[in-house]
Amino acid sequence: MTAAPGLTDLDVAVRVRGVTKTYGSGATAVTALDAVDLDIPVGQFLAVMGPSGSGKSTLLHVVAGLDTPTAGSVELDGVEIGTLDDKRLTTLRRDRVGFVFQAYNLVPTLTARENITLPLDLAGAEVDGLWFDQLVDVLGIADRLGHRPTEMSGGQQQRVAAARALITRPAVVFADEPTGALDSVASAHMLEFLQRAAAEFRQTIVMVTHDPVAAAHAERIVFLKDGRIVDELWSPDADSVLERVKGLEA
Amino acid sequence: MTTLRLALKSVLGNKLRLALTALAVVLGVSFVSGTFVLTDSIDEAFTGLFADANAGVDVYVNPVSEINLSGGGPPGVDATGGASLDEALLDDVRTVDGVADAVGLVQGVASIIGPDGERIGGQGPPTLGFSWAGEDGPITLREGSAPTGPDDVVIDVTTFTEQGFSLGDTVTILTPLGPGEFTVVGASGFGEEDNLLGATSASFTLERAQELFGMEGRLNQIAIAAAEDVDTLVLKDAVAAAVGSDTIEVVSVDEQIAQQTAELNEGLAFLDVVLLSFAGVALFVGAFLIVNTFSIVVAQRMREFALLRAVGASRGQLRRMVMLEAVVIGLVGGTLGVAGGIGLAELLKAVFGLIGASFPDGGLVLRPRTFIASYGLSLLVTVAAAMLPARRASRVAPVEALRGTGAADADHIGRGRTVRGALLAICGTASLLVGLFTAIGDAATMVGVGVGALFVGVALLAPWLARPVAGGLGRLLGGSVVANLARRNAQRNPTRTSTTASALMIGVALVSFVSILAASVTASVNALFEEQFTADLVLSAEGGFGTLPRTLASEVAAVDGVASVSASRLTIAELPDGRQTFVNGYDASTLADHLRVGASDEALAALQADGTVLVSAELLEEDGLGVGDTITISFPAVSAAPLEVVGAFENREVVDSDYIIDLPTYERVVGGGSDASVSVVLAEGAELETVQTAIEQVAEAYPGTDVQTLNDLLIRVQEGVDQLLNILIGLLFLALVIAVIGIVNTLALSVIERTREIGLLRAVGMHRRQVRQTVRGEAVLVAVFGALLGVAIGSFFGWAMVTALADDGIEVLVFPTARLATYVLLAAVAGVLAAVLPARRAAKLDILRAVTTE
Repeated sequence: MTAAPGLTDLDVAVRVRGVTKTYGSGATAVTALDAVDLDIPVGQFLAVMGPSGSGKSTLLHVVAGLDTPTAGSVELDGVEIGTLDDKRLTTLRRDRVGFVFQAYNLVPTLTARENITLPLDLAGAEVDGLWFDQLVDVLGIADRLGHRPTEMSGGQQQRVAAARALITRPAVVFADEPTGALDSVASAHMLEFLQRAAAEFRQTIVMVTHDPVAAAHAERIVFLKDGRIVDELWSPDADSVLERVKGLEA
Repeated sequence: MTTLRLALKSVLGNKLRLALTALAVVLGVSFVSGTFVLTDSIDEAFTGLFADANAGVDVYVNPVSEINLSGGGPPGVDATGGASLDEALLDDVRTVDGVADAVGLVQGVASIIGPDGERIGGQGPPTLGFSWAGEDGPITLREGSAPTGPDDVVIDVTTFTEQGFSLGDTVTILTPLGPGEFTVVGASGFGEEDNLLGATSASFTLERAQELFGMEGRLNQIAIAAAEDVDTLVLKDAVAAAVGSDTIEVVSVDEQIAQQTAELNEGLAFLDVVLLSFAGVALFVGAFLIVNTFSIVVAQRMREFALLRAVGASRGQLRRMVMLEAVVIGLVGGTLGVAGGIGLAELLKAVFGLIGASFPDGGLVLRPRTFIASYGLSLLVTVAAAMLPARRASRVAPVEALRGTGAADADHIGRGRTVRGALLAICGTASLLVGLFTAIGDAATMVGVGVGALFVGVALLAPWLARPVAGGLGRLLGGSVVANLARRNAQRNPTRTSTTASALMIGVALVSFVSILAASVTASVNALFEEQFTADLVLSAEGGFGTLPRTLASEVAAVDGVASVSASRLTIAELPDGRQTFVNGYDASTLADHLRVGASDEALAALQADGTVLVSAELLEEDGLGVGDTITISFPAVSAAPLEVVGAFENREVVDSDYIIDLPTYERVVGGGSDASVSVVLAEGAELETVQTAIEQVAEAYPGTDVQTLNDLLIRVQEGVDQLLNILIGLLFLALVIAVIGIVNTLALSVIERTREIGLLRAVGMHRRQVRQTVRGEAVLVAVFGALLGVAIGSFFGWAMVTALADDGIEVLVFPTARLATYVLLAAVAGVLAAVLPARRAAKLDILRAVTTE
């Protein structure tokens, strides 16, 4: 798989063109994203790295339809999301996007099973039983389905969140520091799963992280600084990532 | 100082919370202060009015009688036969040294018939008749001249103007002597007012008034003006020396005013009690709301409190901080409560004006008690309600600040709470039942305390029910994920859900209770009438107020197809031990054809002898009386009459009093007076409709007379009960409004608490509409839960009350199921309305902020 320019629309999960995000106005305006261009091919596991305040979270929010850009366009699964109203955007997130946040991923009143099927239930759609079984099996949470979030460990909660993110077979899964609150074992488990999802199910994944070890699991890393993409790394390993990070901070 | 600053910051930091919490107190407090402002204003205005009305008079001569009608009485009670003086007394008084002038006064009932042929005033304020007492009397001439001939009348200026009368017009006036034609020679005011509390008045010459009101040779009062330079008190003593006796008292004008004021205050005290009871309910419900708000807020701010503890705040400081917030809200509530009270008093004045009872003008009066009560109650309720939450806040461990606990769902129901709740519920129920069914303690206190304790007890126990009930009800919302979330949200914090629902429970319980009572009363009266009422038609004053001229009965008796006519009279009376009572007069010879009073034929036959009385079986037993005993009853006109008990009657409910005397005896001991009602039994073969039409033609000369069949009567009873029911529900509406505000407040706080959760739901694809539906679903569940608890408790109250009243004729217990079901449905609607603002707030939540908040 390559990321060479000139991909056809069918091969692109996310296409970002000239996206700028400014907060505030006048003298106090802060530019979080500065004319970012980015193509993410279908099935790619992309990591976005950058120091605090580099705009990496903002990029994820804008691309995922949680926030609107000040300028530029974002195409997600062939849909220009800038023109969508809240209703269509919500439907898009529900049907075509999966989320894994750093923490507080689950609705506390719902069981693990209900949390996983939540997007489908909100849509009033049928659950694909085979896919559900496959996911919970791979994630090792089959025996936790009847539990409430408070009855599960942090790692288990994140795995339930991952299952929920994938249950709709979305165009893109967005993961915002998905391992940020996990210990190293649970963290490794989660990253391996994401890697596997990309490889086996051709699942496009965009992961924001500041952890070089986590980023090293990705197929491609883009580095952000001051709202711009300043570097890119393919098939990374932890050492090469660390090197680039140091380079950025210098 | 720091504590105060922190408290103020917290209060002002969330203005919506402050507004909603204060509003809960403000409504209840406004009701209290409004009651005080209203009654104080009436009191002030009347004090002025009394002084005005008694101007020019220095001394009064009154007949001594403890019997007065200020306490009201059954409909149809004859108010005309007030205590009286011999007219000859007037001449004696005039000869007393220092008396410049003395005027005799009589008063009675006289209804003015308007140009449209209807009785003016109708069912509203009284229609009064007076003898003209000259320019110095309470009634002052506004236009025209005083009455001089027997056909002259001066009517109140309000009636004069509103009905478009002119001087010289002929007017029909209904008096105990029947309708009569008079010439309007003048229009009068009452002191500086246009009328007395909206009552109509007709003033005749003294001779004519005596004749019309059955007071020939007698007076109700003598007003004396002192000669110049004669001291009032000296004159009073002189008059007393000349004419005073056991039955005649002489009072100075100041004493007279004091007496009138005292009587007024007695009436106002009653109004106070009624209005303040409802205010109490409102404050009670408001207290629930405040407890809940403070509990939620304290729970949400635990981390902040822990942090303050960690940096060195003492427990006392934390507690004071929360208490100070309560004090601030209490002060705000007290201030707004005074303002709200003024508005409410103005509103009530307007409402009274609309129904024809206008108060004398004089503006609203604010006395210290209004401020003391407003601030006192407001602070009491807020501070007491904040006590427990404040203690909870002070107990937080500093280490909690370091733990990343979000808003905790307290699904744990405390053991202490359960025990206290069970104890209160049991003791409350016991107190209620003891109050209703036994003679132990003061019934009203026992019942009041019992009801209050039961409410609190059930509120404390309700969390145990919240989860299963919300679960069961939630299934009715459907199986969608939105319904599921609404249900789980209602269940996740059963204590919070219960406290919120309990506020609504109280209002719904009281509304259900009065509905059950009303339905039972109506059904019981129906059953009673059908069984004991054997006449075919009944004539009575329109709407059940007032009496019928006694000439009507004889005219009706002459109608074709009428077999017999029975007039009933009702008077106030006094027993030797001072108890006030009522006495009925019936025609003993025909009574059995008209009414089954439950007396033996022998007893009814014996009653026809002069000076005999039938006593209700209940009272006979209570007072330990037997046939042959003599009881002495005082009537307004005659000081005391010995009456021989010749029997008992069982059916107290259809009689209106505990004593029945024959009409000739009644005429002798009470005087003429007028009839409470006249019943008619048809001759065999006579057509009801034909006879009714004929009687209606006769009654046309007596405007304001209703001619009704048994069925009509029952409808009237029903209407009367429904009217009262609606007034009670109207007053309880305030408590319901406060409860709904409570739901708004709780939901708003829950939404803030669930910011992240809602953000997450929105992020993974929940539409705004679905967010609103979730909040609305929760609100409906909470409201319906409260309504169901209320209907259950109200049904219990209804059962207990009706059972306790079985001896008083309320023998049928009816649960108006359709009505009660409607209350539950309305609660659901109220839930939907309560959810509007919180749901909007939840739906508009910024997803980004929600998912990125730590």
